[in-house]
Amino acid sequence: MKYYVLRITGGLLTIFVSSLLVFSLIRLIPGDPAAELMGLAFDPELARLMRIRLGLEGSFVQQYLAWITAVFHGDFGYSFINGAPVGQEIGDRLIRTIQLLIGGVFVGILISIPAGIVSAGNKGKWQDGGIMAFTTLMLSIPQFVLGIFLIYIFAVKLHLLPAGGWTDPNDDFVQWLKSMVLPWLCVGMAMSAFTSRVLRSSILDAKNMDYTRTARSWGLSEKEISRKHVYKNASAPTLTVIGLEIGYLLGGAFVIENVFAYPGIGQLTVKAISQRDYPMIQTSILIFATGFILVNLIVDLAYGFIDPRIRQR
Amino acid sequence: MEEMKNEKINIGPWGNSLSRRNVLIGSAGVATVAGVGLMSSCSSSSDTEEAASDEIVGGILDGIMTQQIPSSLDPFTNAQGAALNAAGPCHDWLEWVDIKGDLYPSLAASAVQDDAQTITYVLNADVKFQNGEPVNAQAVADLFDWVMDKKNAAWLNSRFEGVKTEVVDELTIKVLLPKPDVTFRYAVSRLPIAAVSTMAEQALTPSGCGPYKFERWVQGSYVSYTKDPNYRNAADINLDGIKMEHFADSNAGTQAFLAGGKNWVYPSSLSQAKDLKDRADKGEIKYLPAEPGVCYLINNCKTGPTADPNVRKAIRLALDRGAMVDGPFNGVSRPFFSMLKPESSYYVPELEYERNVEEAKALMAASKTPKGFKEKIYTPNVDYFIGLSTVMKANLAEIGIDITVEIEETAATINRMFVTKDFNMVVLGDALSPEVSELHEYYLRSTGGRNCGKYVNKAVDALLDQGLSEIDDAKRIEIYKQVQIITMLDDTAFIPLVGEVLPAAFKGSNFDEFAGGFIQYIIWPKAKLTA
Amino acid sequence: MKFLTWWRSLNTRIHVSVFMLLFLAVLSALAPFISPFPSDEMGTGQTLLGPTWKHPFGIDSMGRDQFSRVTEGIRLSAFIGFTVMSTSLLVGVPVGILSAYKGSLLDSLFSRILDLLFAFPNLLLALVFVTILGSGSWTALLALVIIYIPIASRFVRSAALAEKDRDYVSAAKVNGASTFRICAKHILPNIAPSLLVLGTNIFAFAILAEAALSYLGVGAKPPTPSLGKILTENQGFITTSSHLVFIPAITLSFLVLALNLLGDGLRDHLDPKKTSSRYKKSLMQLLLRKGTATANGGQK
Repeated sequence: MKYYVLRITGGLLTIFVSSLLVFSLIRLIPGDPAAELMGLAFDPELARLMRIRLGLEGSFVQQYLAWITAVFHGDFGYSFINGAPVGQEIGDRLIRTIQLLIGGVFVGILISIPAGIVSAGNKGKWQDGGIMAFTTLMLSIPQFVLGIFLIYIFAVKLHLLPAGGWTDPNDDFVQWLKSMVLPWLCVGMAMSAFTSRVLRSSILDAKNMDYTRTARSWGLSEKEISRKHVYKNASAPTLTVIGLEIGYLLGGAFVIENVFAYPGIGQLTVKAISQRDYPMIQTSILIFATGFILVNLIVDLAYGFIDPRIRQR
Repeated sequence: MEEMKNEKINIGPWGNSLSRRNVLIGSAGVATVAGVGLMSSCSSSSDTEEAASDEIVGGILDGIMTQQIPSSLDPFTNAQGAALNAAGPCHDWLEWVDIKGDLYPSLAASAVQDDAQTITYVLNADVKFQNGEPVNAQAVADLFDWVMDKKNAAWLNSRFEGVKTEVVDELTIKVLLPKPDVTFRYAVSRLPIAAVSTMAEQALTPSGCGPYKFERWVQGSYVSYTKDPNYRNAADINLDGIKMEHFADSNAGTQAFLAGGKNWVYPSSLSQAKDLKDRADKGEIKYLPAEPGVCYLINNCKTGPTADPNVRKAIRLALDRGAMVDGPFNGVSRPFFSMLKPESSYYVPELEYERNVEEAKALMAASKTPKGFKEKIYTPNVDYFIGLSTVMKANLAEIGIDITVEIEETAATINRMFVTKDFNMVVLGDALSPEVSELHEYYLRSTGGRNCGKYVNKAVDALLDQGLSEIDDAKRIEIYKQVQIITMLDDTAFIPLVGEVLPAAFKGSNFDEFAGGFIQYIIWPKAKLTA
Repeated sequence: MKFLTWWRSLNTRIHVSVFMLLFLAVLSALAPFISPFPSDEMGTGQTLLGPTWKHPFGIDSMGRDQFSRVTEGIRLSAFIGFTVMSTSLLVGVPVGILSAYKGSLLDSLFSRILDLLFAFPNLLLALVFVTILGSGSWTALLALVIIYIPIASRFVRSAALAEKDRDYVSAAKVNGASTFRICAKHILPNIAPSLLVLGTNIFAFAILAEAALSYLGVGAKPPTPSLGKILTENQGFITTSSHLVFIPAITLSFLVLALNLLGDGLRDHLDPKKTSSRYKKSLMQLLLRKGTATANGGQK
């Protein structure tokens, strides 16, 4: 129990420290947002007025405290560039990125479950070889290349799907669905590579377990053993891995978002960094960091679960 | 002293949009007008016939922008060309300019340059802003005052320094300039006319007095407009609306255009130029290699090895412009030897020369660095600039100059050029101007706003002064010919490389009109969709 | 003879991957003889040419021989992968072992620092670093090393934790061995097999991560032809000169595939008794993949 409490407080502490790190790190980027906004019309007096308006005057500590206090009150500030409320913009984007990832993960599951089962069931045969070759290939190809291939085949050659862009599902649900297929496929294929390997390993592990051997000695048919014992036992680790994948994919989202012109949070962050839009960068990276820390927390807890010895430390 | 400081800050009508994408795209309209002019003059006869048969009335013009994802729709304080293009459909201008430098009346029924320091604009009657306020002389004067007020940080601010306005009557406004400035009307042609009361909201919900009304902006995805029934020439609007989708990756954007459903893509991927041209030859699409700008190499003329004019001459002779056209521009550009398009009446054919590595080597041997040197070319992180620097690296290696291609964010390069001035060689592009004095003033005058190479030649300054006050065309041409020969050949203060081509690809034959107006959307109303 | 016996004892995956890697090595070593064009020479006078006998992989948009570029790219990508692997192991192994062995304060400190580094998406972290430091030849490599050091340390720590309570360590402790001696002479050799697996995996994933960084415009500098850079440069030609995209893509995949196979093969070979379950091994790999879920996941 102590282990879990420690890990969770550690996680919260990390979120706090990372907010501080984000805050200072982006202030290390050369280029002052005031100068960035004014470009070549830079004028020291104007810059000072603008810095006050943007909340950049005052010591580092004051600025940080002002920001973190506002964040605790749910106020993430306003974009330096267009004055839009940061919280709302990031919220919209986050939802879209989550839509992208959930759909992608769903596609990934649709691919990896049959792939994992078939390949474990035919260990060493051609089906296994083929699926493992596919998954290794998927692990070996950069995702932007995969995206470009998909666009080329399904959009340019076959004219089946739009090549990118985003439609508001409230306006036109069918069009939204169509525009999501390729990004989902791209996320899903990359994810399925790993998940189907994990599923295959878990099934093979479960087949060698004592309870399976016992069941076999009782004369249960292989089908029944698979259904009752193997799949059930293999599903838990696979689920954990899928959960972890979602967190990891979040970090890779902005490459996919760029290829498919998808207005998600990754695209926003990259843009904000190049424009020194501090409130936007701070908040979006903080959100990424929180997501990642949660994922790592789960990994830690999962390790503790898998290997009880670790818990004692 | 004050004047000089201003001059430094003053970067002219293009304001701080100097980032090559911004500038170039910002001016793309200007160039496209010319391209379209040429195109329609070649093919108008057959096209109009075909087009007449399958024209669609109404419909949404649905296109893809692949320049930059705009982060604001305010073209007054945000100098990004992306912002201007994204906000364009709801705006109107007093005058718009075509590639030959001719100004055409738009919101202003007439504009008269009374003398070098006075301009009189007479507005069209009964025009209203989209928020209901009248577009009259007072509204224009208020807008000018707003631009002049430093605390509003309008990017055209420096261009409006010291300008006075005089409201003569409801529709007539007189503009008094502090000093003779023949280019001021060009600056005004880049200022959309909007009500001052709407300025605070322009960034997220733009509004002006243009043909289309802002509808929706999903940041990072698209911006859409619907037609404004109250537009002054509402009967001219054929389309129901305009939608612009933003792609950060021009390859993906071009693929999306080819996949169907979209009417245009701008700028289309240079990598796909050959494919797009093939398709255009087959009649599937239209391809318009608009040439809004010129790519150039600037050498530090004051310090470092490039301070030696022999070195600069050697560099210009060693460069292989053919490889630059074929490589990074995939054949759709052409070599440039000046800051003017070859079509300009101020163009000097004597500036052209062949690549000559032997002569370059001889010049290097006669220079202060006969054994060559190591140098960095600072390059904005844009495919074709990287390509140009890569070609230059190979070219200059032949004359003993060992180049490292330093890639940075475009903003960082601009900061390096104009703020820290910490470079010896830098590659960038700037918008071509129909007005001969514009780029020459910026880059070659010793106090010029974009003279980041610290080039100083009193004779050139004197010639430029003459040019500004000369009215006679023939004499002006002679003056600028001298300027160009001294600066481009003798001193090699500025090395033009190739045309900065941003090709548009579109479907339907009636897009010629709209393709001319990526910035001056005012001519878009005439755009029609064809099946 | 001895070699043959040893070779036969290895599993098929190792055999296949070694042949794949040998093939790539021979190809890139013989490249200058097959195609005598320097990889950055634009002197071919043609652009965008399909494969010919003279230019087996065609010519790219800048008039450069693609065969020379791809083979040079194999060397460069291998160099990048190797540098990242060795640097991150060099830092990660001592940090990981010490952290596991000394426990308590040091472990907590290292763990928190690692947690912090883990808290940011790698590509974003790399982007921010490049924006702060400015682009330089080594910035991309540095960014990759920064991505992989925490991963390596974390992995080593986990492996060392499992060894720490083994009898041989306790025995050494009783005999009065120093911390350094225990770590270097006892724990390290025992986790060495896992390190080999870790190394091949980092090697493979770093190559992919470099491709993603190139796509984001912060990878190798032109005209440096790393495979990721070639892919990024040529991605627009997929409709017209698809060989310019397919060939480097296939080469990159082939290289990474070989390394992945080697990693898989080594894992099975070094753990013949299957003491740890396959699933746990996979989970270990997931930690590694963290570097690539974002990187392999992977934009100007």
